[in-house]
Amino acid sequence: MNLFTISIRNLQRRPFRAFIFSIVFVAGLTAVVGLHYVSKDIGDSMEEKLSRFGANVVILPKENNHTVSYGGVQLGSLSYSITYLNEDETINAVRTIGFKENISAVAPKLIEVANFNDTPIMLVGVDWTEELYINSMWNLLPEEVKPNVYTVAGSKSGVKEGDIIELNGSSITVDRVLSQTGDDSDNLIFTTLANLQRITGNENRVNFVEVAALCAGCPIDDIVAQISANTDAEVKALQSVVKQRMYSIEFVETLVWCIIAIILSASILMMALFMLSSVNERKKEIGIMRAVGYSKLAIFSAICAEAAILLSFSGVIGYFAGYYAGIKILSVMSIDAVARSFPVADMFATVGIAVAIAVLSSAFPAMKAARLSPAEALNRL
Amino acid sequence: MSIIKANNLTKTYGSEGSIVTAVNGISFTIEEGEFVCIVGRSGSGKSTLLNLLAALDKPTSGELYFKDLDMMNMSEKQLNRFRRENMSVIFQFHHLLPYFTALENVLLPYMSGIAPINAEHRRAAENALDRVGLQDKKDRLPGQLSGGEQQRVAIARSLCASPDILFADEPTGSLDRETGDSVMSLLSELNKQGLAIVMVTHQEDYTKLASKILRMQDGNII
Ligand SMILES: Nc1ncnc2c1ncn2[C@@H]1O[C@H](COP(=O)(O)OP(=O)(O)OP(=O)(O)O)[C@@H](O)[C@H]1O
Ligand SMILES: [Mg+2]
Repeated sequence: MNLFTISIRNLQRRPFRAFIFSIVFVAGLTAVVGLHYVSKDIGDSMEEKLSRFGANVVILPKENNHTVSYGGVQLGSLSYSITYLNEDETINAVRTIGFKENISAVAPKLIEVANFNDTPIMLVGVDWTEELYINSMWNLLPEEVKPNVYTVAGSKSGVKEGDIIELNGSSITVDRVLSQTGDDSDNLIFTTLANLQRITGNENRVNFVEVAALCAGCPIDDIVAQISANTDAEVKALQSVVKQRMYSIEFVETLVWCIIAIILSASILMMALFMLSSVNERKKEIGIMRAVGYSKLAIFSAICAEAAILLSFSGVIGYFAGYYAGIKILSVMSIDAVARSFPVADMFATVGIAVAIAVLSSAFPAMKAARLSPAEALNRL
Repeated sequence: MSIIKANNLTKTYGSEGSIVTAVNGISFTIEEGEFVCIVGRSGSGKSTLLNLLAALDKPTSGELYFKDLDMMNMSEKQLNRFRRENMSVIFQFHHLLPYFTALENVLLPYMSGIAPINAEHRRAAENALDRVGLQDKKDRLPGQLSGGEQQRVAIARSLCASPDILFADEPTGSLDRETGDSVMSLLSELNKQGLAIVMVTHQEDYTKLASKILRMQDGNII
């Protein structure tokens, strides 16, 4: 038995109150920790999801068009030669930047014109693995897209499943017609890049490369600058896409932080109130302890220890609950939780902070109680 | 050698406008082993004086010595030590912690630090309970003891640290005649063993035990 026996006995004396208090605090902490992990993962996951609806960086051959204008009349741009990018070099240029962790897909493209029923039709060569990543609305499954040659047609291209497109003496069979997406891809035919390159004699050549970059934590401008440093090609950020994505993500994160702040301040206030009332109704006890020679510091410590004991228990429980609640919430929202082992260090840090808050919020009433002279404390019955 | 020496001791309550002078420039001495009774009408300042002597409250002015210690200029630390080692108090309401057993309440003064109580403390506490005749009830909570028994637990607690002086504010005030008598005979016994006692009481016949009586009226000794 020592000073802290007094703290423990005091908690045991009002088990129901301590229980209710712990429940509320556990609930608060569960919400805070849960939301924290949700917001942490949701940012990454939302961005990853959003990036499946298109690229936000494009790499093109250096400007080779001139805008032709004559007598004040814009005649549009005039391409006088078709230039290509070296596929391997360009992909390598993207995959080796400092922010390479942020690159989620690099999708090279080669465009050729073929004839089908005497009408010209656009064929786009794509790297299927990368393409499926940025064009998730096609609803193609990776296992469906055979590694050798696979061809799909846009819904408005006029081509049906099983049709054969002739190009340079080779025939390409359409495996599937896509459902309508509402954008340019409705009019195009997509086929395996390597095959198209071989048929047209454009080995290792592409017209442009689309890149999906995750911009959380690093500005897109830095990514663009880093890619530019690696290649002679022109690197362009699709700023509006980037801004919109970041806006949605930041909005969710800000919202979560606001909720966390509200819950946290409510818990602190509650704790302060709890300690204040429990100290006030124990003035007499404090007087007894002072009368038998307890120092102010001892009394202060006993009161703070009480809050600390309560908080370290509910803190650990709340953290566990919050952590697993977060995973549950993410799975309900069908967002993949970032794979991590249980963050023991984070837990201790959080519980430490909770205990510090408890001690701080009990410090004021404890100080008030310790400051009374023993006679004063004893007279307050 | 006198154990307590008070000179022109004064205590006022309140501030400008409504000042109550509860103790008004009192001077006296208490010798070692004395039994002093403080008597007087309600509101005459007895409790206030006792609290000053027991270092539970600070005098407004005057001089107060415990042996040769200047109580007016003691640091907080010295005061705590004084309360722990040199004196003890008992009150009309026994002031036991309800969630500690009789024995644990007696041990309370030893629990003021991180160091756990040891066998020696336990022996002293059991010995003290023995002296007040409560050895067999040491594991009961205060709620399971009679008023007189609770008061005896408080006395045991005050004996535990073998103090030089015991202060008591109406220790029999909430007890019936018979129980009060038994508490008084216990105190008188302790006094005979050499413990100095300063006791506030309303009951004139208990003053028979006293070697000195301080009669108070309106903050003065008459
Ligand atoms: N904390 C206080 N604040 C203001 N006045 C006080 C305080 N404590 C006591 N007094 C006043 O000081 C005077 C002396 O009070 P005290 O308690 O010492 O009397 P007492 O002799 O012990 O009375 P009783 O026999 O009723 O216990 C009274 O007039 C009382 O109203
Ligand atoms: Mg009184």
